[in-house]
Amino acid sequence: MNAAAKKNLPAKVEYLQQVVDFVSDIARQQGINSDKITNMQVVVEEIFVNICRYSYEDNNLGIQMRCWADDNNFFNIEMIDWGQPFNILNSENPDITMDIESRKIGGLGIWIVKNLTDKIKYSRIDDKNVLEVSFKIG
Amino acid sequence: MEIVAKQEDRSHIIYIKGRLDAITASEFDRYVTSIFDDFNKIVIINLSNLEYISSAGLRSILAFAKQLKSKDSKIIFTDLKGSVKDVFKISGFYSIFEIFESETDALKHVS
Repeated sequence: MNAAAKKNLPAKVEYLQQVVDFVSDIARQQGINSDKITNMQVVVEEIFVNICRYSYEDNNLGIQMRCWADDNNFFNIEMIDWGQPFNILNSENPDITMDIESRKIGGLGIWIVKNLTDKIKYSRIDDKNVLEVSFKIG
Repeated sequence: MEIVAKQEDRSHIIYIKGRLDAITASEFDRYVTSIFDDFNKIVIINLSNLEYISSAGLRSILAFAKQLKSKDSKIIFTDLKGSVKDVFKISGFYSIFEIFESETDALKHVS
C-alpha cells in the first residue's frame, strides 16, 4: 500500500481551493484521468463545505485529509473533523424527480457524494468524524 | 469564473467559463441579479468552457431557473461534458431542463 499524503487545514470555505488541489495533485501523480479527478474534487468540496458550515460553532479545529491509492485499485480520500457527530450516510436524499418550481434549493451536495463515489465509510472515533470515500480507478 | 453573454433574436446566450463552486457561485448569483430584468427571452447557457460544477453551482442555477419561470422564460443548456455532465445527470437536472449537444442545435430548436 502506498503511503498516504496528509494535510491539515482550517474548516473555512476560503481554503476550498487548497483542499481540492491537495487531492488533485496526488490523484494526478497516480495517473488518474482528468474527468475522474474533477469528480473527486466535487466530492471533496461537498464534504469540506458541509464541515465548514455545520461542524463547528465557536472553536474551529479544522480538518485533516489523507489520500492514497490502495492495492485493490481504489483511490481513497479520508476527511476527519472534530466537530459535532455527523454521519453523511444517514442524511435524507433530495427528491430529484421534482420539477423546477418544487425542487428545493438545498440537499444536493450529499446526494452527489453518494453517487460519484464507489464506497463510503463513516466512523465516529473518540471525538472525530472520520469519513472515507473511495473511487475505483483500475 | 467568467461569464460572457450575447443576444440573439429569440434568445440570450450565456457562456460560463471556469469553475462554478462554493466560492464562485455568488458571482453567478450577482451577475444574474444585475441583468435579470433583461431576460424576456429564452436563456441558452453554453457550458463548453465550464470545467467544474458543484452543488453550490447547481443551487445558483436552480435559483435562476425559478426566477425565469416566474417570467415565463426558461434555461436551455448546451455542450455539457465530463464531470459537469455527470453532476447534472446525478442531480436530475436532465429531467428538469432541456439539454442540447450544441448551441447550434439549441438555436434551431428555439427558432
